[in-house]
Order: sequence, then structure tokens, then C-alpha cells
Amino acid sequence: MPTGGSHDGGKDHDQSDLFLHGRLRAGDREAFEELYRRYARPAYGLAYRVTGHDLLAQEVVHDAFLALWRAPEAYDPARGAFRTFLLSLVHHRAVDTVRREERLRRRTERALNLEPTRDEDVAEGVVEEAWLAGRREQVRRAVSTLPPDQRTVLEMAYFGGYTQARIAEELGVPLGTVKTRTLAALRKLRRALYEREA
Amino acid sequence: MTLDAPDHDGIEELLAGYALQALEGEDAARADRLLADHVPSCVRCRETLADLRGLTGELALLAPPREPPETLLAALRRELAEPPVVRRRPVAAWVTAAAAMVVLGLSGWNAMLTQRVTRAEEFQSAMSEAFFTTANPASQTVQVSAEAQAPTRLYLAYLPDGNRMYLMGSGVPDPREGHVYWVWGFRDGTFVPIGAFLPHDGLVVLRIDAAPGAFEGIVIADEREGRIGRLPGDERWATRIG
Ligand SMILES: [Zn+2]
Repeated sequence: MPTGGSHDGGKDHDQSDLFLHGRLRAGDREAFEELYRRYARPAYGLAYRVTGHDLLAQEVVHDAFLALWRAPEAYDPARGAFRTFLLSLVHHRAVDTVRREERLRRRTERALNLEPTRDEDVAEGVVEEAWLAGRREQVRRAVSTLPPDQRTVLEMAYFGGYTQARIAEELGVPLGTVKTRTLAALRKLRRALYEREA
Repeated sequence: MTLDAPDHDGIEELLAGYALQALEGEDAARADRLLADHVPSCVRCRETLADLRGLTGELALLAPPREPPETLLAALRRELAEPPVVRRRPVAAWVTAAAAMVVLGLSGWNAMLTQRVTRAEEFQSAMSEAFFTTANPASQTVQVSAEAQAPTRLYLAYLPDGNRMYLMGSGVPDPREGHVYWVWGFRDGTFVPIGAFLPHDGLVVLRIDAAPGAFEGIVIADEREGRIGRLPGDERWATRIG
């Protein structure tokens, strides 16, 4: 099972997320609001990054949280942290949305210009809990160690919403190369972020 | 198709693309087969997939956080205050046998996806089956649409230990242009597409070849025609089965 939180108190937060999720299953609106308070900002940031559009991003976040409210049992605690479940749900919907909108050109530019570790990427004035900021820093560090070609395919898929076939086409490399780079990148991140306790 | 000696590097490569929603064509079909045939029974692959899914949540943090407008929470609050679309029934009557988990042949529902209920005889045979199902005293009928959604009425009828479910409705609005409704079964956080339909003058009679005991509930979503997603798209209705 993914360890998810690691140091910096992340584990405690994963635990309290689980508790809130349990209340959510019982139809508790306060639990919903607390989860919204915790995750609406990273969710909206992600949806905005992927869709590049305020209204589309709002639709994505709205739909994801509403889906959570209506079918909280879609999250299975045995499969990892609630936080990653919710944000991967947001990601999934965001990618669906950009594919729907078919804004290929804008996505190309955004995906290729992506520099997630630059300081100016951090939105000013958005209050965030320290442990989430800490996890963000861990993820950034892990991604920054990837070779540029691996990072590019990962970001084109993740933030650009491209399929691997499309990435191969855009970069002019064989599909097999895209797959190999993607796997290598995710394996490294998996080792860095989900190091199992022995 | 079963893999006799699984090539786990190849599988992991495919699962990586799958977790990123980056597969299409033959790769997507191979991933679907793998997820139906091999992954459920392979501890290694289940763990890999769980971690890959986790990573797609972790990567979200690379995007700078952004303050959503207050109207977003206000809109959600309004919807939470409405009668719940999901009927929250106690989780008691599930048939829990793992063997009951339906793994559907992809060819079957692929064809179903593009099928429009235009032929009167198909419609009528589904309708008469549905009728006989609901006439059976052992049958259960669950309202899928919320009261507030009138005039839309959608019901799911089934025999608890049967192999089929029937979705029946009236006043059902058409999906968006170029879209169809998909019915998804869910269980343990996994969604399986189990049927697709287009209303015919607002009427819906759909036979779903899946055992009700195999799922905790269903979700009906508005989806682009011919597209195979991993999770429901724009959710319109949902209910639990029980
Ligand atoms: Zn395996």
C-alpha cells in the first residue's frame, strides 16, 4: 500500500482525511466542507493548469467534488491516500475536459513550456497547509531529478492531456520510446515518493 | 486472453500509460484485457497500479494551488441541499461472492455503445422482459432519478440473484450532441461500463447483461460517443443497488 504521507505530519493528515471520508459516507456535509477546504485549492490549481481556463477548471472541480459527495464509496482506503484519490479524480476529469474541448494548440504550448520547479510558478497569496506544501516540495524535488526527456513526456501526458501516440508524433520519436521514458519516469517517482518501509 | 508467463516490464509500461490516461487504440484495448484478466489476480500488478494511481494524484501538486471563486462552494452547497441523487441505502444485501464480479466481454459492450434503440422489436422485447421482471414479486425496483428531476423518471429493476438488470425511464432528456449515456457499475472504487443508451422520444428501456449482485451501484453519465474512458464522464444519475 502506498505510504502516501511520509514525514512532516502527512500521515496524520491522511488519517484525518480517512476519518472525514467516513463521515462523508454517512452524508455529513460538514465533513464535505472540510475536505473541500483542504483540497479545493490544489484541485483548482491542477484543473486550471490542465484546462488553461477558469470556467472549465471550475466545472472540473465542481464535478469532482459533487461526484465525491454522491458516491463517496468510490474511494477505497485500501488503495492509498484519500488526497491522491481525489486529485487523480480531478486530473482524470480535467484531461477528459481538454480532450473534449480539443484545444490542441494551446495545450502544446503550455505542455512544452512547463517549468514546474520555477519559483514564479507558486501562486502568490494562496494559503496552504504546511504539510501539503511540504509534500508539494517533495514531489517537485523528485520530478526535478528526472532527465529532461523523461520529464517532457510525463508532463505532456499529465498536464497536456496528450496520449502517448500523440506525444510520439509531436516529438518525432517512436511510440516505444515514449512508453519507455514514461515508465522510467514513473518508476523513479514511485521509488522517491513511495519508498516502502522495510 | 490470458498471459501465461506475464512480462511484467511490458505490463508495467502499459499500466503507466493507463494511469496517465494516455493510451489509445490497440494499447488501450490491451490494457482493458489486462485489467480484466490478469491484474485482479496478481498482487504485484495490483500494487503497481495502486502506486501509479497514487502518483497521478501526487503529480497534481506540481500545479500551483489556486483559490477557487466563492461561487464554486456556494454552488456545491446548493446541490448538497437538494434531495440526494444517490439513494443512500444500507450496505446489507450485497452479494459479496467474489465470483459474482462480472467481467464483461469488451466486444459485447463496444457494439452496444453504438447501438441506438431504433428497431421497434428490440425495444419491445426489452420492454416485455423488463415488464416480466418487475411483475415478479421477488424483483426489486430502485428509483434512479431524483424526485426533483421530474418529469424525468428512471428506474432500475432486477431480480436480486439474477444476471440482468433493466433500466426503464420516461421524460429522459437527450444527451449532448454526439454523446450517449453510459451506464457504469461500480464496486470498491472501480467503475465498469455495463451499457449505453440513447433515449427514444424520452423513453428508455435498456437490458443490462450484468448481475446486480456484482455492483454496489450504478452511475449514468453523458459521454462522447465511441469513447472509452476509465471513469464516468459527466454524471447525470446514480443509485446504489441493494
Ligand atoms: Zn502481474
